[in-house]
Amino acid sequence: MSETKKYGMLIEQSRCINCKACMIACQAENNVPLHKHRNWIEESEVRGTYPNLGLDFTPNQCNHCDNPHCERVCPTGATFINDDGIVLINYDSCIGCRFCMMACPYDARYVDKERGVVDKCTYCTQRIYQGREPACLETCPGKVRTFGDLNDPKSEISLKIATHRTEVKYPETGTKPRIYYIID
Amino acid sequence: MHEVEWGMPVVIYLYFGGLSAGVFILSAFLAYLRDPKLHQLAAFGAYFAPFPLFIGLFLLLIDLDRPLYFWKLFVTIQWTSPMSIGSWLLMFFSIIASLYAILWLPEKYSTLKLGKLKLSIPKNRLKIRGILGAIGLPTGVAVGIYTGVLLGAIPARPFWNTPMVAMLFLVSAISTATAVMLFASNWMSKNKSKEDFHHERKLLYSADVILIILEMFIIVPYILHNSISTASQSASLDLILGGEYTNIFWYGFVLVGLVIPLILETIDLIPEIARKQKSSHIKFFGYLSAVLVLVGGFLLRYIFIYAGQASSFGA
Repeated sequence: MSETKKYGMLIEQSRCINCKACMIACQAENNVPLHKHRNWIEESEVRGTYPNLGLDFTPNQCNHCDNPHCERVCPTGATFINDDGIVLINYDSCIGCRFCMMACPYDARYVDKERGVVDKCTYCTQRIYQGREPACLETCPGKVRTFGDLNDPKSEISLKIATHRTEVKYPETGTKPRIYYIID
Repeated sequence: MHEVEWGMPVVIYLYFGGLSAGVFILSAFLAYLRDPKLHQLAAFGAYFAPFPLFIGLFLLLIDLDRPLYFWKLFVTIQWTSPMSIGSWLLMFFSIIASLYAILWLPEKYSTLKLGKLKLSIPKNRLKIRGILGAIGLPTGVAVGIYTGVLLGAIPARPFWNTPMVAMLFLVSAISTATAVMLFASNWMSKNKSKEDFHHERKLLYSADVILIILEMFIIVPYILHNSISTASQSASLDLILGGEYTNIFWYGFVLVGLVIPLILETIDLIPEIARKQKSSHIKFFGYLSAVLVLVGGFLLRYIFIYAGQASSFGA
């Protein structure tokens, strides 16, 4: 096991039933302003013709990239990569220029008008540093998400990534995202 | 992106920032030529240059979600952030442009009294002015090009993510600055001899014709490149090829902002090109082409800011 941790998330989207409990749990846990979201479910168009139909739900959130463009373009250095790989924001340094929102290919960021800063998913640091799970994961009835240390080869997430075919979103943007989706 | 995060204040700032940089570049260059016939125009440029930028910077400041924290920009340099480098550049340029304007003031204003404080402009002002112009000119070019780099440096927005944007913004900035000079030249033509006015006009029209043609030949490879590039790049081009911004791009920016002023200015230059007698300048067309170029430059910023935010990888 490596000395430093690197947190990541695995999403098994075929298990998602689009109940949006994760979105509400996140809002409640993190005091997210109304109508803003740190995570959301993307609905695909209906495929095929009746009776052979298909529909996908894809949960989305900040990808906590290894090469985050939001961090690269931040003019004050407010956005930073924590030692454990989580991309966080130093709210004291954020001036609300919103350049990071332009730079994020996942559109994972939003403006918190009340505080005048840009915000996004933090993997619920306030919970995980106490040994608890992120709120979206705990509340999920379909057990869509797996969260853990990518540097530990024996962690549940590492084992699942090793034994499944996975993909990441928009790798062509060079962000090296750390949210994996199981291809089925 | 579902909402527009960068709106009109950013459009106006990009426009005015480029305009200031362009006017400074032209003024410093005209002063460098040391042609007495062009002295008045160089002086006008020097006075004019700082003001649009100040308005733009003010708008940019109040557009921040926490305007009072703007100083956080100036306690750090983030080399990978175009905005950080741009902020320092803008500060540097504002200071140069302001000092330069002060050094162009006529002799009688050379002493400034602020209560007990007495500031006088040094005797060797011409020398200092020349040096400031020489430093400010490349700084102005950097400011003009930075506004485009700011947008181009983001892979997440395919509509922006090409080096052509920086080039287009720079050339457009100098072109709009030429239009401002042209407007001023027409405005002040009463105090000038016919020959001097003709001299100015020939220079400004020739410069603008070249700049407009350059802009056109930046747009052509921009469209060609994007259309044969990756799926997201070519999809982003739909915004101006059939999408929401098609009419404003082709009829607004290209036709009104480039083609019509190009025709008007070329008509005025025909006698020069054909080596005939001096042209019978119609002042109205001078004003008209200046205004059209200024409108076109504004539309360019507007289209790029809004269309760029509508483009993404998800589409």
